[in-house]
Amino acid sequence: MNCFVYQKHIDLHAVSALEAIHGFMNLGHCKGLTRFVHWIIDADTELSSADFLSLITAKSYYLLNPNKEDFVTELLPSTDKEVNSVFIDVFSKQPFDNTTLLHKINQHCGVAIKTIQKRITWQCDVDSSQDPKEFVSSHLLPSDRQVGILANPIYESFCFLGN
Amino acid sequence: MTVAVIQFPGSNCEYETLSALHEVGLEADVVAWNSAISVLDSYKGFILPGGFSFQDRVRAGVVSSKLPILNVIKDKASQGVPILGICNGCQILAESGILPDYDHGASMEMGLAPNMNQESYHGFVCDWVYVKIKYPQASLFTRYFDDSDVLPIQINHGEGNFKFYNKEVVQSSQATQFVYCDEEGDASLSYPVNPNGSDLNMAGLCNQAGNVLAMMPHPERGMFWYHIPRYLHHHLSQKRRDDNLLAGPWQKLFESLRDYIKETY
Repeated sequence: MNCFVYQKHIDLHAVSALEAIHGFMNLGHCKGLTRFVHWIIDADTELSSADFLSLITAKSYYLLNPNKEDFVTELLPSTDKEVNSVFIDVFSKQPFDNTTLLHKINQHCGVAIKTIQKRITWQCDVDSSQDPKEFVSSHLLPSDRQVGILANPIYESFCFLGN
Repeated sequence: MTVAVIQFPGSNCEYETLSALHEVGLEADVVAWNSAISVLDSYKGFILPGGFSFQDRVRAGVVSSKLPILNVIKDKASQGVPILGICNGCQILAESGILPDYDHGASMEMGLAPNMNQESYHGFVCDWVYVKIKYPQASLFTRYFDDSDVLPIQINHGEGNFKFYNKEVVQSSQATQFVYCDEEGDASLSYPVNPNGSDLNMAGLCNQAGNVLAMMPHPERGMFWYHIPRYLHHHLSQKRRDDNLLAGPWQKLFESLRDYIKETY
């Protein structure tokens, strides 16, 4: 199951990234940027994703801080007709051992998570005059070890989510 | 003024760095990141200090690496002007692709990933470590050091894990490199000698021309005798315990910069 955690009020990472894209990289076609912490969870449960994640987030702060964060289980594109949304999942090339976190959540919340991974998902809303994937690939993501902003070409990989 | 210490939004080591420069007799000033090119052109050396520019948002150093001043720094680097990036400054130089330059800047060759211990995220590290300098004569910053020196130095970072696109190229390079080692100088060991999981125990490196140095540890915090902790098992700490330590081990780096500027300009 997927858990996309977002800031309820303001995400300073997204604010600064958009500021850099507009002000320093002069890419005005990028109209909006939202950042999600993306948890990919494999668990033994008969609950729906939403119920399972609500159980964890009600009992612990491991996945999110409910005072300032909330989650969705599916990503929805912007409803603004002037833009097209594209979702980019960024993850480390290095293998991470999340066993400690997994055990803590299982023990504290009484659940049976088998694996858990953490990624960062960016929602980029691109001016509808542009092909959003092509725009993002050309300007915001690294290509052939050229510098992007949303992922580091040396130690991070990325993929597009959805269509 | 001679050397500009660039102050980004979120820099926090600019005044210690300035103090180190003044101590060796260099004229220097803290200069804002958005200063005019004409202002920047009046300086003969640049230091990108430590801190958390733009609060390390997105990734450490990446937002600063998109600033117009980095185009100036790139030009200055190619002209042979001395440029030193310390900690966050090192991260900014890495994200901008200025270092390393094994393929002459055609593509990005290294990144500074989050600290790791084996396969676990290790978090922020604040500690004293030891480094050795390989090929010290190849850089204007390190020519007063010897490759047998084992030097204590402080680190303070969460993303200092050097990752290289091609480790073999880095290993075969004869450009100056700083490597983490133990107090005996053994650089073959992993954590905790290598405090963050860096490839090749790398703590810093220079471009091939020797005028641009990017290092994660803080030389300005090993500048004075009183910076060196008494508790380390190192001959400098012993000297401090015996009350006869006169200068910190990293003063020579700033003296070397001073002398290079005097010789060149």
